Amino acid sequence: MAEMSQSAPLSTTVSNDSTSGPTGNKRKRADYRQSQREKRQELKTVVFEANDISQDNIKLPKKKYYRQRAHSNPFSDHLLEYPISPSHMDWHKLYPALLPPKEDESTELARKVEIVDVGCGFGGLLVSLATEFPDKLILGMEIRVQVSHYVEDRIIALRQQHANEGQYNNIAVLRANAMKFLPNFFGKGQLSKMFFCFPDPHFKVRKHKARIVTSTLASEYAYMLRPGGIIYTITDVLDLHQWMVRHLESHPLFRRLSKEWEDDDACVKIMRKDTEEGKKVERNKGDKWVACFIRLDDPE
Amino acid sequence: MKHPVQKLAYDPASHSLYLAVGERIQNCDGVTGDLISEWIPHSSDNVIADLQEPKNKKAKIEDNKRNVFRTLSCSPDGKYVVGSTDEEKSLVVLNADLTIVNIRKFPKRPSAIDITSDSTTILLGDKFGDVYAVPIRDVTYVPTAGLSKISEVSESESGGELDPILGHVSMLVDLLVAEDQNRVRHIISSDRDEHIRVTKYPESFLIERFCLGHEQYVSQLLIPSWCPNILISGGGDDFLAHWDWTTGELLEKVDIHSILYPESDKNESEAQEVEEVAISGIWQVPELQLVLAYDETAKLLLVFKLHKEQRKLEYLNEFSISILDVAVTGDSGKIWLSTDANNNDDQLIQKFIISDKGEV
Repeated sequence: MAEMSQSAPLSTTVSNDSTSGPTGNKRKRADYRQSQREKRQELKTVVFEANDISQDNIKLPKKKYYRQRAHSNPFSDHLLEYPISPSHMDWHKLYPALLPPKEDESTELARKVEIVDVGCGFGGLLVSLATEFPDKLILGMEIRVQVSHYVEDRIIALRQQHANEGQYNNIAVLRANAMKFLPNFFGKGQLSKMFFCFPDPHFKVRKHKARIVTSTLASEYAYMLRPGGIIYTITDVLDLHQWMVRHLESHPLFRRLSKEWEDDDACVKIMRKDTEEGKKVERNKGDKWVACFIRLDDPE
Repeated sequence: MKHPVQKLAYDPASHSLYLAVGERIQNCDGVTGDLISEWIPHSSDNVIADLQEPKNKKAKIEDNKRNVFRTLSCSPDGKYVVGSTDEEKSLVVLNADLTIVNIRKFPKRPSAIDITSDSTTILLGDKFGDVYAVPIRDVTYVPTAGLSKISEVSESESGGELDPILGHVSMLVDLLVAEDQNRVRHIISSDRDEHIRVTKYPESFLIERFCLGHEQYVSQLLIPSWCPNILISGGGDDFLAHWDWTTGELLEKVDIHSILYPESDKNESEAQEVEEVAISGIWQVPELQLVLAYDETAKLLLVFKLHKEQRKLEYLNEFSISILDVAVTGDSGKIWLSTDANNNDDQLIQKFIISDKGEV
């Protein structure tokens, strides 16, 4: 464990001043990250037993230690790992309490991921969905390194804190490029819900191809969603909302659901309230635009 | 130094061999190899359907940059020869006698083309990952830059903007139009991120399945005409993949690394660098049920026999030769190879005969 000298009192806010010396906040951040990294490696695939009093209570992670630039280029090759195909993926290591290890799999997995949060950010939606759908496997995908680490740490802490109730074993996060590699993770018709919460708006016209909802990507989402499956979108950027509505409405396999439907649906409520981005929008008194689409049957 | 022939295309009905030599297209006699006629691009050509460049972008055509053909195909009815170029991103359609039909420009560099079996439509994939479908003759459609202006163009009659019919997120490397056993048409497309996607055509919003199993880029796709449900694919992997594309099943991975480098010690990292596999062409010799694959790092042309019943690809033979493309005549194993000429004495195209044992 690193030692800190007594030269300056520790400030309460993290400063981004890179000229601060090895003491102070930069060192504290680095140390925290190191210890979290070690803990994460160890505890990622651990199954927490109920009533296990020997475990020290794992604390929830603090966002200030996971700072990262908001944007990430989805087209670049981030040295990400992805499986050759969905059946090559070891899902047990994401849901260790609920799925058998890969070697023990005699037949195809009985339970597969059904709900995906594309661009899950700091995990607010995942955490709420976990208790709303305790019987379903839910996966968050996040391209930013630090943010995905934050969510991993958060899930580890929640699993341990709620080991008695056996909660939060059904959610997991993956650092992945959803734009490029979703078909590597999910088979045809596997998903029942997909969430796109406050996606990167990519304002400039020449960057519109980088938006997470386009006509061509909609076909991929239609492939992964079963007929009757739902795409949920929410954003505070009106232009992006209109773009997503246009592209999904014009796609032959999607139909927009009504406002009445939105008002009745539990996931829409969660999506509005429980994401970090959503809370930020509330604080800034911004608008939230919601659009939900149902995946239609294949045409005959 | 003569310019090598980078692409070959053959029309069996008229025994015409078409060559793409730099910016030009030549028509040769498919039996003798003698030059019959040539098409040379020049500015008085009827350049139709120029793309709508954003206003602040200047034209970047420099005088000494050559607009080389990257792809070349004959339409199945033998009436047209189609090729796409890199520099000007244009799709050129010529009649069989090399008179010009039309030239269309696309917003991004086209990387692969295929023509439907009824010879009406050209499918074109570009380096952005988008695939367009354009009629072979009609040029009323102008391709957009892949940015769907769906709000402004509701139906295609309102001014002729063309949207991509399907898209990958990474560069499209090869594409094929295929028919399954029920004569339902599909498009098979591969990208730089190792995906092979099977999409219905013309309902290109419907992805049927993926053929996943490649670990490196997929550069070449082939559907052998005597096994229309089979797909052979290769690229940067050590193996050729042999699929039933109608089910997505990977039937076998045919190891080619051990054929190309039989004495290699895979643990030596030095050896690994030099021994990378790069398949630059896969062709079929349908009358002998052979499949040819060319690795451009080792400069070896491999000959396989595709056994239809057993669904197996059997390695027969290999030839050390430096080639750019192969055109198969369909006539008792006669094939044309375009060689990577090193000096002026070498013939640019050479004719070979392959036997059913894979000998030349």
